[in-house]
Amino acid sequence: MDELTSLKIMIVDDDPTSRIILKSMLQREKIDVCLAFDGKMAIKVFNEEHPDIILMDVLMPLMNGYDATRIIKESAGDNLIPVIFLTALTDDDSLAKCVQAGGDDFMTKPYNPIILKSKIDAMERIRRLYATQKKQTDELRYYHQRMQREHAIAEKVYSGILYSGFLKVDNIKYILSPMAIFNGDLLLNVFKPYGKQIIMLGDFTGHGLSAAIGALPVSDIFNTMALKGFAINEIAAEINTKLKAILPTGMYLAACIVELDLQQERILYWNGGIPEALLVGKNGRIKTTLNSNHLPLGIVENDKIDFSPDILKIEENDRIYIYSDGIIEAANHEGKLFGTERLFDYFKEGADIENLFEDILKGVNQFRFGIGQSDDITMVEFTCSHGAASPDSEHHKNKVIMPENATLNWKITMELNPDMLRTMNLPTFLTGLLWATEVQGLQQHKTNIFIVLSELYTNALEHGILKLSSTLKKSPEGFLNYTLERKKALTTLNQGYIKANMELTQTKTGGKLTIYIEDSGDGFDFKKQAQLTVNENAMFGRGILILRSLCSELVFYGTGNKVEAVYVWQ
Amino acid sequence: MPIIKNISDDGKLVTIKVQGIFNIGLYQDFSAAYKDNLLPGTKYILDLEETDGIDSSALGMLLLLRERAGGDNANISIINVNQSLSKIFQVSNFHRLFSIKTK
Repeated sequence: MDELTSLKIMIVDDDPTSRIILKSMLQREKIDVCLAFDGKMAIKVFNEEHPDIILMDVLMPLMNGYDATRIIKESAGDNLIPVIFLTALTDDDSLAKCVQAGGDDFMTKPYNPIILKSKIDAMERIRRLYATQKKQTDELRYYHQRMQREHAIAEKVYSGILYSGFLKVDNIKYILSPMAIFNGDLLLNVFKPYGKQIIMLGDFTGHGLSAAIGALPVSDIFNTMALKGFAINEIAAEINTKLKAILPTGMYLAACIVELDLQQERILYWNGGIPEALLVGKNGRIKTTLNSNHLPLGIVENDKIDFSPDILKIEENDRIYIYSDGIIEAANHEGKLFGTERLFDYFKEGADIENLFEDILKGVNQFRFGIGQSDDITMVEFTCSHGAASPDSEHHKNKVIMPENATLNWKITMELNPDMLRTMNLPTFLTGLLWATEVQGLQQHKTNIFIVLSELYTNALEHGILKLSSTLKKSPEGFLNYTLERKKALTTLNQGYIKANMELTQTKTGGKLTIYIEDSGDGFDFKKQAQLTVNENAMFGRGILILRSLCSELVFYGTGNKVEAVYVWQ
Repeated sequence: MPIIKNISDDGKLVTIKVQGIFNIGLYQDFSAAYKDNLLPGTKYILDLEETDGIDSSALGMLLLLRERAGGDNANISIINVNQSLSKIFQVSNFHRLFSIKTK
C-alpha cells in the first residue's frame, strides 16, 4: 500500500446501527469503507478488499471477533494490519483477550468520534512506518541475496581460473579461502626458466569485489612475465605501473615476491607491505625475517620505488612462511589478536617441521574458536626444494600449443662492442631467448644448442678478438695462464666487435636454428684446419670437432672470421 | 562522533582526531572533515591518540587525503601513534609518504 491510494477501513459488526454510524463517520473523513456482518464474513471481505485497518466487534454470530482477528493476522503474515476492537465489554479480562488475539487497540461503546478518529490516525501512522521499514528490509534482503549470488559466481571464476591450478606443487602448502580471495588476497606460483621458482603473495586494500578485481591484471602480468624469465624487479615494476594506472587512489596491493634459486642456494625477495615473512631452518627455528622495506604497489610512480630485490642465502629444505595480516589480526571472542608473538612461538628448536603449517592453522582456528572459520586467512609455506607440479596442475596446460601448419619464425641480429663483450654472456642470453619463446620440441636440444653457441662465441671472442693462442693450453698449467691472459685481455679491450645473427625456422615436426657469428679479428686458416686430424689428447682444437658433430652444417667464410652453423631438430 | 576536526582561524591548520577503530566505516566522516579545507599550504595533523585500531582501508583513506592535499607536496603529520599502529605503518612503509610521530 503506498501513499497515493487512500486509506481503506473494514468495519466488522453484526449490529446494523453501529455499522451505519461508523460508516458515515469514516466517510466524512474521506476514508474508504468495506463492511462485514460477522467473523466469517470478515475473513472473506479481508481477502477480497485488502483493507488497511480493521474495526472489529467482539461478540458476533458464526465467528467472534477474537477468532476472526487471529485468522486475519495470520494470513496477513509480515504485513501490519492494525485491528481496533470495538466492544461493549469493559472488564479487564475481555480487554486482555483482545490483545492476546492480536488486537492492536480497543474502544468501548458508545464511541466518541473524536477519540476513534485519533486512534485511527495513530494506527495509520504506525502502519505506514511499519510498511516503509518493511519495504526497506525487503530491499536489503534482496540486495544481500543478489550480492551473495554474485559473490558465489565470481568466487567460482576466481578460484577456478586464477588460483588453485598453479598452486598444486609439492613444495608449496597454502591456505587461500574463497573469502580471502574476496578480501583481495592472491597467491601465485610460476616455474621460471632455468629451474627457478617464483611465488607472490598479494593483499589488496579494502574488501569485497572491488578488492578482488585488481587480482586479474596482476596475476596476468605475473604469470606471463615470470614464465618468460623476467626478473623480480621487472615484474614488480610492471605490476606497479599497471596498478598505478588502473586503481583509484587509496587502493593498492601489498605484495611479497620470493624467487627460489636452488642452484645458487639463495632466494631473492621483494616485500612491500606484507608482514615480515619468515625463513625457517630445518630445525624449526627462524633464521631471519623478510621484512617489508618498500611501499606497496600502486601508490607511487615507478621512479619512487626501489624494486631491486634483497638476496638471502638458504640451504636446501629451508622453509619460507609468508602470510597476510589476516593471520596476526585473527581475533578471539575477547577481541584479543592472535599476534606476531603467538605465531613466532611455533618456530622453535625441535618443532614438528613437517606438520608446522597445519599446526599453525589449527592454532589460529582454536584461538578464535566460536568466532568462525579462518575465512580471511592467507598463508603459504614454500619449501626450498625442487618443486614438481602435480599432473593435474595448470602448469602442464601452460605450454604453447602450435596451431597446425603454423610456423613461428624469428631472427635476431646483435652487435657487441667491447663493453658489451665484458659484461654480457651471449650464449646464455640467446639460449634464454629460445627458452622464453617456448619453442616446441626444443627442450631436449637445449644443452646441445648451448654448447654450439658457446663454442662459436668462445672461438670468436678468445681467438678472434682477444687473439689468444690455443697453444697456451697445451699443458695443464697453461690452462691457468690462459684464463689469466683471457681476463687481462678482456679488461683492457678497447676495440673490436662480434656480430651475431640467430634465425629460428619452425616446422610442424621440428625446426632449424641458423647461427651466424662474425668477429673483427684476423680469422684463421680454416682450410688447413679442416684437414687436420686432431690428436685425442690435445687440449685444444676440440671446439671445431664438437661443432661438426652437433651441427648439420658448419661453414667458415672470409678469413675465417665468419662462421655459420645450422642446427636441425625433429 | 568518532571524527573530531579542528580548523585554525586562518584555515591553514586542520587537525583531525580519530576515535576508536579507524576503518571504512569512517570514510564519509573522514572525507568530510577536510573536504572544505584543501587550499595549497594547508597543514594537516592526524591525531591518533584515541585510535584503537586501523586497517588497510583506512590507510587507503590516508592516501586519498594525501592526493587531495597536493600529493608529494602535501603536508600531513600523523601524531600520537602508538606501538601497534606504528607497526602497521611500518609494514606498509608509510613513513615514506607521511610524517609519522610515535608516542
